[in-house]
Amino acid sequence: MTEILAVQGLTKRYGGMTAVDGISFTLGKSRATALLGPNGAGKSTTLAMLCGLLQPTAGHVRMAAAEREDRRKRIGYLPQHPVFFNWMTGREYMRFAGELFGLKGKRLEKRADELLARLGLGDAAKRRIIGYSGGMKQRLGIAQAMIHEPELLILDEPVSALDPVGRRELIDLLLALRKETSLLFSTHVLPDAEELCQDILIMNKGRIALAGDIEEIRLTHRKPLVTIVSEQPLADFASTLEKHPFIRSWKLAGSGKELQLEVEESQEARPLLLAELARRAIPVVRFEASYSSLESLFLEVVGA
Amino acid sequence: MTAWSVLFRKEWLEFRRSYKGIWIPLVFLLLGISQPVSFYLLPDLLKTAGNLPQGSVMQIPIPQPMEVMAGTLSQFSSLGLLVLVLAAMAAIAGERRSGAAEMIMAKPVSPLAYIASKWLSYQLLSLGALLLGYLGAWYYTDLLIGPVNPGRALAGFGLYALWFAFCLTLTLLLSTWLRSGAAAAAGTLVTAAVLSILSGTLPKWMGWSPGRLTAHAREFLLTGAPSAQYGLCLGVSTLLLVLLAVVNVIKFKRSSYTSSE
Repeated sequence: MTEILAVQGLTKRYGGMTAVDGISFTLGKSRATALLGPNGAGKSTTLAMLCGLLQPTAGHVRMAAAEREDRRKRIGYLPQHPVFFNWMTGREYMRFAGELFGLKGKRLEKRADELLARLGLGDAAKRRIIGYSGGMKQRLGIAQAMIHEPELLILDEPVSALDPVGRRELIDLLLALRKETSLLFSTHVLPDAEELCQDILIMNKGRIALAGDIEEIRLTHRKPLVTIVSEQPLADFASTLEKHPFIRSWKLAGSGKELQLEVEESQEARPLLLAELARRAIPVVRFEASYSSLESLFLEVVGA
Repeated sequence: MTAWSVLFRKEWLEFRRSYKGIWIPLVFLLLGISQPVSFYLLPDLLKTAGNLPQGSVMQIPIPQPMEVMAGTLSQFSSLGLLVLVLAAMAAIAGERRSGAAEMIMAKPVSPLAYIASKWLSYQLLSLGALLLGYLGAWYYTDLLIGPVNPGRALAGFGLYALWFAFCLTLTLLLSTWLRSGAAAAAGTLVTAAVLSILSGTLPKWMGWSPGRLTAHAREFLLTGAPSAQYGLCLGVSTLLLVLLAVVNVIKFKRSSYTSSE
């Protein structure tokens, strides 16, 4: 994997409060990465530092092949609540953004019109931004971040403020965009990350709790589970299982009639458990072998 | 095209769209014209008031043209300054609070380019408005009261323009520093008032103060020569202005550009 951005020991402190605590990670070229974490984990602060909007207390950010150059030239950024100049039209703002990146003339006009059309703002381009809806502003925000064909597009909570339809549209758009550029976006919703990303970075309390390829993480961190549902309470049965070494943990749910077991290796555990259940003549309603979900892993690492 | 000129043109477009570029010069024009016109009409106004007893003789001193011009400038320094400071107070604080500045600074724009575009556009607006008002006063004074000495009038204008530039630079610095438009306006007006009052009451100690600029301008208009310590005042004022502008860039650079926090 070629990396596009490397972060070393990035830290941000406000007085006594540490918002980001010495995090290090790399972003892959042409990869989509989700920065996941609960509210207040330090996601926005991290993104602002990557974009050069906030001076880190310590640590540094390097973009591949650009030691001295201003990395803002190669990054497109959409803040959580994009704010424009309401007295401009959509097209005027696109031109303004492009000129700040040093674009000009026919090429800029063409690129701006293309992006506006692609984001469904073709008809609204000549209207003042003050009349735009929230979803339109979000799309204009993405269009202006793409104006200079950035190598890395950074989006801060792009979907959290949208309604289900807007969310769907945006995810489809991002799926298309990730073919053109590397993508980093923050979210506190796991399904968005699963749908869009190859890599995830999970942050909690200013630190990276887990990072890597989402499929690898799913495979290495998944745990075999066995769920038994019975017609009668299973507390007694559960306590007799503790002598078996392959039971890692257990918990009761559903007023004691549902037993959730985390086991060592379900191939070996299943026949034994079935035999035990038969021997004790427990009226089993359901017996299910499965794996823990990414969701439960996420909740586990963020300590919820 | 450099980021600086893009931002500068954006400011001017904003002046046009928000009508700041029209109503501020208009206010100054009205202030400028009202002084000579009201002096000219004063005797007639008193006559038509009509409740003077028969045969009473009233002597109204005929104002000198240069006194009228000096009066115009003092109009500018109260109401005119207030208007300008109110127009400029949110120039930086407002964009930062809303998040518009964050969108700009995520692009390759240096802090110097951002602050310089703000500073220059507001200075030009102020200078243009001041000049328009002053020319209006000049024209009507010449027409209605008497001839204006061009050399003295220009010297007075130059000193006033420097005083305005100083106050505006302070407003923009406070707009960055205090992150609140209202605080920036209040800070500027209080500082301007304190400087003026101290310069008036303690002229010996405050010879260096930019607050003396207006007094020198008045002296130039009335006598054709400045009062004492003119060079010191001019030098220190210019130096302070440059210093405030530089501090503004440094303050902006050190702050975060994000709207939250």
